Amino acid sequence: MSKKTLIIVLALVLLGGLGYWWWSKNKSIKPQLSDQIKIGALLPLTGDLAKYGESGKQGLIIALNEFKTNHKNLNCEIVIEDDKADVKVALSSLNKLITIDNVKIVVGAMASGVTLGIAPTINEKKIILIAPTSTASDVTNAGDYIFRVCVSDAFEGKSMANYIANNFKSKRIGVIYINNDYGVGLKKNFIESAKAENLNIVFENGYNPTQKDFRIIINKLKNEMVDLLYIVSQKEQIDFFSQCKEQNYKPQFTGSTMIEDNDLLNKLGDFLNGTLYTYRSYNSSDTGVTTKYFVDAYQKKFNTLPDFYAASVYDATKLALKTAFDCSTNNTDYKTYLYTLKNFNGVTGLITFDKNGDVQQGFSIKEIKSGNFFFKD
Amino acid sequence: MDTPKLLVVMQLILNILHNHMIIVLLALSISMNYYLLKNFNIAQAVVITFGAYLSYLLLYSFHQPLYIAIIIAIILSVSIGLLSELFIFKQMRNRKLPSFAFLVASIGLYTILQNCISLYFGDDTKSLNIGEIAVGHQIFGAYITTVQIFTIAVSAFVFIGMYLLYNYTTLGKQIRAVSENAEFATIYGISSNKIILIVTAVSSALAAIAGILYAYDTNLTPTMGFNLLLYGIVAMIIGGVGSFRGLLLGSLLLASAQNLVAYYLDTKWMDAATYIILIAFLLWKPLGFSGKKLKKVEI
Repeated sequence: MSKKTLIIVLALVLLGGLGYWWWSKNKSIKPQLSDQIKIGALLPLTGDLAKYGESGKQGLIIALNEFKTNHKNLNCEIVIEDDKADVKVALSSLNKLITIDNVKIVVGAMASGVTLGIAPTINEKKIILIAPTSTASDVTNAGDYIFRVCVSDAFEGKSMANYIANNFKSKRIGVIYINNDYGVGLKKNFIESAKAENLNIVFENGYNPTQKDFRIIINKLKNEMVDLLYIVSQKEQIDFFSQCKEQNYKPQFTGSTMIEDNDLLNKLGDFLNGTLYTYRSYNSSDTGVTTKYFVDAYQKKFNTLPDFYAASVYDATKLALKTAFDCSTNNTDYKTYLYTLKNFNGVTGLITFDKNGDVQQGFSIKEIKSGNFFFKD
Repeated sequence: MDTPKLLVVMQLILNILHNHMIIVLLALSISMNYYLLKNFNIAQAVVITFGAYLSYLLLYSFHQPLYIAIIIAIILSVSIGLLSELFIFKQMRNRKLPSFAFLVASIGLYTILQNCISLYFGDDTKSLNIGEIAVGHQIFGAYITTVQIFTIAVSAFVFIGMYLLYNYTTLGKQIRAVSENAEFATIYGISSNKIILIVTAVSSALAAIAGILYAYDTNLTPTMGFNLLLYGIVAMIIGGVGSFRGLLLGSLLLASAQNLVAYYLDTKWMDAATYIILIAFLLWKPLGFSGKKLKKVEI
């Protein structure tokens, strides 16, 4: 590098530094409106998990509208940032939320991998994160400032393993899982519980989130004569099940919450009859006041039934708004407020955080029957 | 793992054959471009994606019959290839920019166009084959779908066609002449600009066909093109640029490696296997199988 360019670079760096100092100085003396509620949200609006992010955003809109109708004289805003279900993008979006929008509480992220990736920043900056759907069991120990309104996968894997032990004890079990934080976490929990129940796991295989050709896996499953398959998948499951049908392979399918996906039913209709999966405590046909209000408002606005993702983000958003509001009126610390919160009434169940910021709720077993999702019990 | 059963082996062979033919098509498309212009055009990934998404659009939004939808989709994808050549890459060549500038510009173009697809169609998985999924045909106990058989046939047909074009026609000779030495070819009255346009059009058409066939077999996502492009590039590097036999062998090696690694280790390692092969070839056999004294592949 010549001397001239070096001087120019140094001058630019200096100028940038000065500019930042001036800008941040100006920003910090800006007065804070006391009657303003502003929270942030990190959702995967584009990228691989956009499908879930879109549902989530709709849940968020319902929660915001509800809050606005209840607090008419309040200036309320949610800054939504896209995280593309990618930690790098999420970090820069989060920094924008913290430094530019100055939010103290963030709804998100949906993907467990993203939540785990941004956790160090969240804890360091002492910002509250309320994760709607990050179910990986590692999130439990992610830090003091991370809360979530969904139950850890640790319990989901266990409840399916128990069900299998009670009903299909003698089957040859295969496990396939998506190779990300969600898939690996849930698979590990399932296998641990299954081993404890002495189940016969003969095959285990991970695949990359971009995988589209599952014929090799199906081929291996046939070779191992797997007759009960536990699958931890996300939206790519539609390819997997399609190819199962093409290759004429139909063991007893079992899976996680992710199985409840209308696209899957539309495409594969009767092929999936008899598929069993664990489902979280949210039930859109519940007649309780909270759920009914949410489902009606959602249906009116978006013309479809809210799924688990919409419901979870709705709960997380509602809780975040309530926290921001209550804390600004009582002048309490957000973290203390959330840890002492008891039985917040969400559509996914009653929310009380334990010392890790987790909630405890049960799972039910659901089944696909004649092209629809039903509760088994 | 025990020795696999006969039907499992049969299935493995069918899967490899199908993957092989898709990769051949991609490698062909990329190597035509690279052989002529000596730089990688990452934006070709988006031509692959465009082919698939345009067929989807024409089929399900404009309700065209299948063959018309596919023909129009190919034509439109070709025009995207041609427009990017005319308005971006040609201008860059005229300004005599170094080859990494092409790489960066094509990555930029890829990102822009891929995001356009995401914006318009959304990021969720779409399906070209919306009918009820049918059980495939049985061959010695292994299953193969109609789309896969069709894919293999089309790829083989296109490959032979291209082989004949390059080796037995005047146009093929002209393309090879311009590829070897553009200035010298110009002296003999071959317009290199014309040849570049023709090759861009044909290679875009091949990319679009590969995209459509792939999407018919599995599904469509806006990012599908990039992985496919990489497979094509790797197959081309293994095979050696400008050699048809090399392409065939390179694709076969790649498809077999991917399938066998996935079968014996884990599907997680498929992409890793691809890159290990790539690195091994770049280190020990940078000219690929064919070993022809062409320009070494440079990224």
